[in-house]
Amino acid sequence: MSEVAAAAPALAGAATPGRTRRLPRLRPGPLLGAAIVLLLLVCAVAPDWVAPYSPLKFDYRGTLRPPSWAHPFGTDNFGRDILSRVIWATRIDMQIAIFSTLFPAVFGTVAGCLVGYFGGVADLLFRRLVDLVVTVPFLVLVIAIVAVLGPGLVNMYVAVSAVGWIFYARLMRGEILAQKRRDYAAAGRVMGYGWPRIVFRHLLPNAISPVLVFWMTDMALCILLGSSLGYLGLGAQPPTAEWGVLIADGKNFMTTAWWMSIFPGMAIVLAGIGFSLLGDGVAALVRRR
Amino acid sequence: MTSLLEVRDLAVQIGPARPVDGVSFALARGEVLGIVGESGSGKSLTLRAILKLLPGIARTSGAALWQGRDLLAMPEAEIRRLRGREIGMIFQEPMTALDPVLPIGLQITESLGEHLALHGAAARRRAVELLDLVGIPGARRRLDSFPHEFSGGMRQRAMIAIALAGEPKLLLADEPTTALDVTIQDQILRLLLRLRDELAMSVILVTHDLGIVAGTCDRVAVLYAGRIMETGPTGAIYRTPGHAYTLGLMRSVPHRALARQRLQGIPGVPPDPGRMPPGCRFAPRCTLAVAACHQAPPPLRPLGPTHATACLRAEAVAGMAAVAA
Amino acid sequence: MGIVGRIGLRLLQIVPTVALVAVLMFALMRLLPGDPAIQLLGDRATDASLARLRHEMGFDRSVSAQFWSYLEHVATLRLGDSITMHVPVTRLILDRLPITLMLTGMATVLALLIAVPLAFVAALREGGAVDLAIRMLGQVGLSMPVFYLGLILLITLAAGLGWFPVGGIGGGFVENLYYLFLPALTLALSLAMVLMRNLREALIEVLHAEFVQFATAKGLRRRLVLGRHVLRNALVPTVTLLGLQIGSLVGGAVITESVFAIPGVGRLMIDSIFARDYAVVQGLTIVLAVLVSLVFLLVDTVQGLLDPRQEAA
Ligand SMILES: Nc1ncnc2c1ncn2[C@@H]1O[C@H](COP(=O)(O)OP(=O)(O)OP(=O)(O)O)[C@@H](O)[C@H]1O
Ligand code: SF4
Ligand SMILES: [Mg+2]
Repeated sequence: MSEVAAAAPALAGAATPGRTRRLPRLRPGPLLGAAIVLLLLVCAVAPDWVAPYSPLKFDYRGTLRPPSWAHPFGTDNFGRDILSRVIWATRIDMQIAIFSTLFPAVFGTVAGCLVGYFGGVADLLFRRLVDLVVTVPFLVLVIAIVAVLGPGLVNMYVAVSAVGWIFYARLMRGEILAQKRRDYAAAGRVMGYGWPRIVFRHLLPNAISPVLVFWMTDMALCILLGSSLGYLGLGAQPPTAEWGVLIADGKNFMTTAWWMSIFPGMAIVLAGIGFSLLGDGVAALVRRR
Repeated sequence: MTSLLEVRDLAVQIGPARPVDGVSFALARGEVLGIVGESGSGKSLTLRAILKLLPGIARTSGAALWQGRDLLAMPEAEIRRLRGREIGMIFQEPMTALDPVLPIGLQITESLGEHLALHGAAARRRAVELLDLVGIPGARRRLDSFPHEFSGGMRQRAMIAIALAGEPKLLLADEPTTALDVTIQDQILRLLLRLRDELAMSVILVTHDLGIVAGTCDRVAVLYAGRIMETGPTGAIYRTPGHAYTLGLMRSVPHRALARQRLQGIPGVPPDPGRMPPGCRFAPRCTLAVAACHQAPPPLRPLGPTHATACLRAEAVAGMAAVAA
Repeated sequence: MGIVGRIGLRLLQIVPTVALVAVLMFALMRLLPGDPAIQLLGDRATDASLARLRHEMGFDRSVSAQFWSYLEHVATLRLGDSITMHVPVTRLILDRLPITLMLTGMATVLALLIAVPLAFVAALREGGAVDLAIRMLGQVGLSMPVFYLGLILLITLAAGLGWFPVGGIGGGFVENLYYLFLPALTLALSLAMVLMRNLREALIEVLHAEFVQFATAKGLRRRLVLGRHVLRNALVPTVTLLGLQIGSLVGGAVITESVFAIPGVGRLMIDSIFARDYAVVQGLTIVLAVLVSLVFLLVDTVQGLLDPRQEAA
């Protein structure tokens, strides 16, 4: 997280001569972020390999045990090992991070490209859509859609995707508009390229970096959103181990077994930090170019 | 006569660079001193260093004696009381130096409150007088205007009015006219001279432009790459320049009519403050340079009672100037 | 155009947006697959009771007939009746809206009280240890979901130390304030993290601005330079951000009200979803959209006052 303080422009407008382009320095923040995300991915891919116990093994003689060496995160009301459940839940939450953002990122990027390039009626409609979406709080809109489709993970993906692409498209549209003003798009047209080639081979690669940065942040946001819906009972459904669901499970034992809620929450915080630090790193890389 | 301000061996270090390196000059009461030099020569840094306005990453050394007391050694609370009150400053860019979200009137009255304990209606009255003084028409109505509602020339005047609010004894004017067109430029300069006379104020006038100096300043210091190249009375320097760089500057601005141009007649560019040449800093661009010029920085040496130069070939320069004249 | 005219115009501009939201909600509720009557009564309900419910909900009419009567409802601010509670949706919402407004209002004030000083301290010590600590706090805070934050506060301050009630809103205004403090703090903390991060950056930028140097060169005391020139200028982007955060704030309120069992519109929303009370969900969404639009309007107006350059635009 330590920005290079000396690089801050101290006197406005002063050019710093002789600054040379160097390879990006590996800063501790993004490195830490990458390490966290990697750890989470390992947990998601091979939870049985990482987790000390089965997440489902009941132990009625060992319920609601506080954290100990045997159970670092304690046990729940069925005597299940919470650490193991948190690790298994990683699989669901990583899935949330990816599945809630994949369609919006891809579809939104393409839509933003086209709307930005062609403008006209489509652009007009799109701008109305944006007005609409910023007027209704994101969570409320997602909840309303989930309400109609019914609670559950898949419906949550549908709901988030139905709204989320608009943010990517808006970002992309802005970038494309900026790119279009540069001359090489005109040069492409003069050379007689068709629009698909101009849009996807020339404009898109130059406009994509902010979208990549946003994607990282969005994954963090979607983990927060997914776990919130899980907590409310609108996302992943109870037998599934998901961080938000685990926290909700613990809520009834708030006074007697704080560890049931607190540790799964830490996993969410860790994931959030990991993705946003990684996002900062990506942003710094992109800005350098 | 003791000097009002005497700057001794002033240096500013920013990281590895030393964009101001051993600047010395003195200023008498009521005098107008011009500091001339190309862009990047360290003019603004010098002025800001005197008032201790540089950010933490800049290390300032040397001394700036204000009526005998060193500004650079003063605690912040003390120098704050001098800023605006004893020494006023006009910044280079009125567009960025004025607070965009506050009305001009407030930007004047807050100084009046701070320095003269003038508040409320009295402060507003005085603010109107100040705006009148600098020639802003309809001053009373303009009090509630915001900077973006002013033209460039009016902004510059407003900034002068703000700087004058504390009735300073010395005005540091950092290129007060560079951004303006010739007529306005003239008005502003005449305004400064009038204020000098009326308020018995001293002025340090920073500029790119030798033409402006000729019409305005009593004395000149020529700055190049953070060092004083030549200093002396304006007349003497114009008649017999003692430095190859000064000569170059004069040749690049032959006519008053063209004075608004940036100095660009000397081939080559100033050195990077991080990598200064070991000898005379002008040597890489100098047509008169000899081997000795590249060895060690030439010290300032006197050419007359108040005329000094840091050029090894001052006599040759004087000869060339005489031939040309 | 005067300020009143401009506000009037903006008020008018809200109408089409909200109308669009209404249409969208209608489409969402009617055109998506699934029969709400079956979902409501379960698939073992008798045909007769299903038919009765469909009639009650107006689902036995054609879609276009439903649409027109729905639009009429929205336009006349009657948002239909709650299927489960048998009261007009408008009443239901108006009863609970004040609580949510109070919660979000308190949260906004608290968030500013937290964010502004911290951002100032961090910006003034840019790059220092304090700055780093505050930024790390911000990073952690930003990664913390509202419901988790609420639970932590509940577990420590309410259940653990017993300083605050664990839920509800109490009776009377003073008790409301007390009961709502913890939930408001929850919301405030998550809002404050966003504000703090952005305000810090705005402050750092402003601190380096020429006009701040100029204000210093005028001999103003530091307090005046910071409190007037720096703060006023940094406030402009902060207010913009505050406006943009209104959506998250409302979303956060929905969750917080669930965590703390507060009978506001957020709780109503969740309850209605589980009860499949579509009229309420629909009505709430529209009301919230109106609310958000009003906040945008408010922000624009304040913005115009804070930044004279925007008047012209
Ligand atoms: N904060 C800073 N960090 C690094 N270098 C700086 C900084 N501020 C100024 N400099 C350098 O110091 C040198 C002198 O700057 P200064 O602003 O004093 O020039 P100037 O003579 O006023 O030029 P101009 O006529 O363009 O205003 C320049 O080379 C500039 O790049
Ligand atoms: S000292 Fe030498 S190099 Fe420097 S200006 Fe004089 S002649 Fe040129
Ligand atoms: Mg300058």
